[in-house]
Amino acid sequence: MELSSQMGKEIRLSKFLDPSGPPAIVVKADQGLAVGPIAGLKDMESGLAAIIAAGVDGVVLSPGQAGRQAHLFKGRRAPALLVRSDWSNVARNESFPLPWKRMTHVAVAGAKHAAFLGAQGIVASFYVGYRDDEDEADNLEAVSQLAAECFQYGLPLLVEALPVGERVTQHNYLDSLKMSGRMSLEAGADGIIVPYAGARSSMREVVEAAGAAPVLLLIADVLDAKSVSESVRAGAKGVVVGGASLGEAAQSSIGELSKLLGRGA
Amino acid sequence: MSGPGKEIRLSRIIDPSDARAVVIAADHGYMLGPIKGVIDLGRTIASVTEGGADGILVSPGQAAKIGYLFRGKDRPAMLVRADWTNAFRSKTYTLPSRHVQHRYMTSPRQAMALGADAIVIYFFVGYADDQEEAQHVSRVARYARECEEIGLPLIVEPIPLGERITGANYNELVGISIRMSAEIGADAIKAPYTNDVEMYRDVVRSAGIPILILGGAKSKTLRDALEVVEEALESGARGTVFGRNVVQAPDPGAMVRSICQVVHGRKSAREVTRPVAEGKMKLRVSRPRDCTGCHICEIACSAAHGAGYGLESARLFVRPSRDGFRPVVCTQCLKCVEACQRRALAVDSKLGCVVLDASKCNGCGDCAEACPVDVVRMDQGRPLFCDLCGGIPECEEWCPREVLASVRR
Repeated sequence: MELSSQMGKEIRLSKFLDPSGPPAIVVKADQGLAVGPIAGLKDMESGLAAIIAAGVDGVVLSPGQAGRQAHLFKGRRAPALLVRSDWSNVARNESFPLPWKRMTHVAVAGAKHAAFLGAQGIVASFYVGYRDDEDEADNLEAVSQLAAECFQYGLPLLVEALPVGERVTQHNYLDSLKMSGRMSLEAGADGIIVPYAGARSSMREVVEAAGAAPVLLLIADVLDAKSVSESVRAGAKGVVVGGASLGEAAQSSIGELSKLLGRGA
Repeated sequence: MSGPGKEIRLSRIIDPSDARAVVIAADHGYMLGPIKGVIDLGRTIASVTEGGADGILVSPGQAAKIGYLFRGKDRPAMLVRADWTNAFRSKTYTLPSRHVQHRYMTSPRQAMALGADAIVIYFFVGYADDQEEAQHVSRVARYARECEEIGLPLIVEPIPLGERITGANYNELVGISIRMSAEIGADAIKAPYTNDVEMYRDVVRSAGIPILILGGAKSKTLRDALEVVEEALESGARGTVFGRNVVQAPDPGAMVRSICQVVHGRKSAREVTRPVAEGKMKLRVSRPRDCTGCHICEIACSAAHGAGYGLESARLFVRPSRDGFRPVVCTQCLKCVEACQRRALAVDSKLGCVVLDASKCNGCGDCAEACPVDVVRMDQGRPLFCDLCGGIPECEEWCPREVLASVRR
């Protein structure tokens, strides 16, 4: 008899997205996988220690770093380790030495390996806006397969749902965002990470589109107070901060964000 | 320990700040049915959680049903019992076991899916047929390998069991089965304590992985249970796994708090179980003929009042008597209080002992002179009075022959 249930996912999700607690703060420190060293995380050990000391609920790491930095995630008071399962080149914009010419996405770790690494959750990306429809299908297929594997290990799956690329315009952005969030839910996501939709009412539409899955706001600028407060009012359950925006002042920046979210200093 | 996942998950059970753990076993229903304390399991788990347990062991079926009690950052770790046995269905239970059976019911991956931070499995030694021990070793090894692959800590509970186990070989087999479990691939051990600090120190050293000792069969008193824990910790054990002593306690949460005070708070069982004094009390020499003149009462008194282990500062003394020896204690006659011209002495409203207001005392010594039994002594210009140690007189606690007894007035 298969005893697997949603229980493991629910318990692990609650360790960084506590339904009875204030909005969560998760930091993405996995940028090295796609763009190399970033400010504040050139030295992963000290950079992560500063982020963790600031009081965050979860940290997203690449599989390689997760294995090396495991000691920082020990104890029930430590933040949850979330493991990045895929790679893409979408963060390589015009300022990057090799900007992307074609959006690409591949898997780098499965649920079993994330479990081995001690993950409380796993993070994948789902993009809409590919030039070639086959790429979107490949991306969704990868997310769906990962979701099925996550069920087996009781690992919650967070999906970054992002409209990206030349086919995404100001005109279709909100609909694309809602569509990518809803498709992620249908594929098996337990939480959806989305960028700000531009207004509180739009954000509410995104939250509604995500249905049962909690929505987390992805912010590039840690002090983007308007996006944060409007999203929380619209129903977002937390914030995912890009590590690149933290720079050397990670601790004070996260402290400010905590205050903004009503979590205290 | 192999792999980061195991390290992270085990640290959710064994607190990295002091490398110790208090785990509560609540999986009895799987083996014994609805025994007291696990009938309303949700209520017991809520109480144990509130008491501050680091982890709770539950059966896979209960994990799927009441796993919601483990949701949230401040909740204890979930340990899942992955195997089943009838070995504990003794003659006092319905359908006592005729032949020990042991089966694996839940795979490590299934336990992961349920939200487990670790799984717990038995390892028996003492089978009548050696082939059965070999099969059990094989099963533990299979689970150890699977746990390694998915980063799930494996806690093995080695138990010497069966007709080949005797009083003479039990303790040695505890040590042997623990070491064997470590060699097979256990990440931590849940094992009985052998009531021998020095012997267990060797067991701990030999294991090389954390050992959590069993709370054991239901203890007569809380202090009995905690004294075993205190002793085991002294030998290097990393904590405890309490079962029936906690889940069948009138207030499981309060019991867990007491265990945590010993395990994490590093307090002694004596300190933790010291009751708050209620009502006035008096010290009596209840069995004067049993006094051997060992002076332990005086030493305990002196030490309890921070005056070292000499006899000079004790608030009682032992004198030779016609029959041998006899302790002399304050009778609370209050003649000292009457003798004090400066009104520096008063009667403690809660306990009834004499208390000194040092700011009013001029060290005249009238109180000592007025004492008809000479227990009021002068020390550096100030009189010393029996304060009943706040309600648990140390002289009474330490007297090996129970010569002294405190009574409520």
